[in-house]
Amino acid sequence: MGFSLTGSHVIFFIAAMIAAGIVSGVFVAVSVDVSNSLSDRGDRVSQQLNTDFEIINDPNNIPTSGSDYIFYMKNLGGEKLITSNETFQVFIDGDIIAFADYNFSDSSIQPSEYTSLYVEDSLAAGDHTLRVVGPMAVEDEFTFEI
Amino acid sequence: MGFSIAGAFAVIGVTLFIALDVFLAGMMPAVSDVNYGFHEMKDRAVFQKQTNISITSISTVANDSNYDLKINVSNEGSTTLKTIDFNILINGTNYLFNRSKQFLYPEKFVNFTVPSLSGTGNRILKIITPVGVSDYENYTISV
Repeated sequence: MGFSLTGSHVIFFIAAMIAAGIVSGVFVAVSVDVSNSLSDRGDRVSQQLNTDFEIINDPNNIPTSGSDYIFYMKNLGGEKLITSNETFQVFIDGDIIAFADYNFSDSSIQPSEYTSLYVEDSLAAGDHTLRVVGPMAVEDEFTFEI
Repeated sequence: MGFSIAGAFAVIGVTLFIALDVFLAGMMPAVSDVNYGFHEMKDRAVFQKQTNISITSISTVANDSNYDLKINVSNEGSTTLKTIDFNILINGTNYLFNRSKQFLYPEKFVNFTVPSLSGTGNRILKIITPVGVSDYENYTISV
């Protein structure tokens, strides 16, 4: 009788420890996940805050090269900008320009530097709006006249 | 039975401290990154607000059959600007230029020279600072 009472206490104790261990394991795993996600999010927000660029063209005089319009894009942020068709999307008057129809003269630009964006499009005379969406969805809009 | 519950709570309690430690260790660098990003953004915004330039004079000098464009720019703001990071657009096209100074300090002037330009008539000049602040001016080629 005495042994069975002690035995059952030991079994209860072991069961309680196993249950507590499982709860603890889940708790630590969730904490690590949340912590990692917060850290990644912090990196992205910081990167977003450090990204800024502007189209610096004269809106009345858009230069051309063959069938391409040339737009000058200046890096006003605090980080190097990778300028490629993967990192930037271009819209004119709300229509997305196909990857094959625009390219940059440089693969990257440091802060305060500029690059030329060549856009192949046939635009009618009048007012148009260029929208360039860059890394971290940072964007700039530029209205110009042809 | 009583000891089992106390033991389980002790294990969970210790785990809570460990989890809190892990959570804070991950969160503090994120907060620091965001804080740094905001600080940098604020600095850039203040710098941009305090930047202002003015084109004070433009002249054209004959250079064989072409002409050199000489531009005098004054710093009307309270920031120091790196002149190599300026952009000069003539009728919308970006041109390379020579400069008389590396830095343009507040209340000072810098001379930019755009060599060997061609053409006649009126042109629109746009000068852009490293932070995007710009100034426009018209000029007529007089050589």
